[in-house]
Amino acid sequence: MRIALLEDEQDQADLVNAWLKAAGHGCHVYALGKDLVRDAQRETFDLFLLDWEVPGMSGAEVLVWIRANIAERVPVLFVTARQSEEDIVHALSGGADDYMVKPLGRLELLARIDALARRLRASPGQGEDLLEYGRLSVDCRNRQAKLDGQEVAMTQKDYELAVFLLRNIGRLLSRGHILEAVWGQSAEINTRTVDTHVSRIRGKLQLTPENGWRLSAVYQHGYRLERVAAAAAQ
Amino acid sequence: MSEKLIVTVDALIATLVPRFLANRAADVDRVRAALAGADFETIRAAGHGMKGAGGGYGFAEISRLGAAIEEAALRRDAAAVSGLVADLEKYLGRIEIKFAGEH
Repeated sequence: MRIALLEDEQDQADLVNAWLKAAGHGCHVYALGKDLVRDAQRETFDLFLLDWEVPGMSGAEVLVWIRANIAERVPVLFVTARQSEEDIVHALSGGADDYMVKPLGRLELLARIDALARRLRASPGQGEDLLEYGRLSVDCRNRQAKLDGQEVAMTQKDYELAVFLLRNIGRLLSRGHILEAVWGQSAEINTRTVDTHVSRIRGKLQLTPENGWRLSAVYQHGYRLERVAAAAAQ
Repeated sequence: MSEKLIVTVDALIATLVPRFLANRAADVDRVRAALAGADFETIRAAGHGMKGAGGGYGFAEISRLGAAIEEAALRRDAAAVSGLVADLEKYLGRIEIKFAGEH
């Protein structure tokens, strides 16, 4: 997952960052709420981890911004040393999906992140080894994509990009998000690479309206793969 | 001479621990300086930070002392803060780190 962490205490940020990276997540750390908000306007994330007490725009204010400005219901987990019942109620009523009191336990944090990801983005095909959408099927165990039962020859990155998009149907995904998910957070690759690969898989997997798909570029944002009624495409 | 206190820490964060402990030692100086100026907000913030991070690094005692420092600062109880920061200094001096998985 691509996670945005709001945390101004360097030691705490380093700790959570290390845990998330070891678990295979990408983590973007922000010490200021306004910087997270700035990036969230052009980048997409799978989950927000918010501390409450940070300088300037507080975690609670960032939460209000997220719920008012991000159409997609991205999970928000508050991680804070504030532990009064009033604080917890305030965060959950304000739109947070979960709340953890510091000091954090690594295993519990990772388990709660996984639970949020499962609960809030459950959609057909997510997390399963076999993705099936009519003519198109993807066998994730054997890393094979098939159209009408015939294997489609694909490069490793094209395959991984296809699976990432298929596991996130309906979501707007920024180019940065796609790059991280498929090429890794440290990869120094031009975002135009994403455009090239998207174009390629659109052709190879016939992700077109005639076949019940719309894979659209959203100006200055990224891409969204959607299912559409094939009849409506005409 | 104070007895050494062995604290077992997750090897995953081995490279982060020295800086974490150095920052806590700096907190001792910072809190004492703030106490001299009756700057209880600085003391509260330092305690709050320790409370939040200590346990995650494997130092539950640092979280406990941090919480106590934060509460003492909220009460503007200089004597309590002074005693607690002395306890923190003593604790930091006794720590011997063992990383989980070491032999």
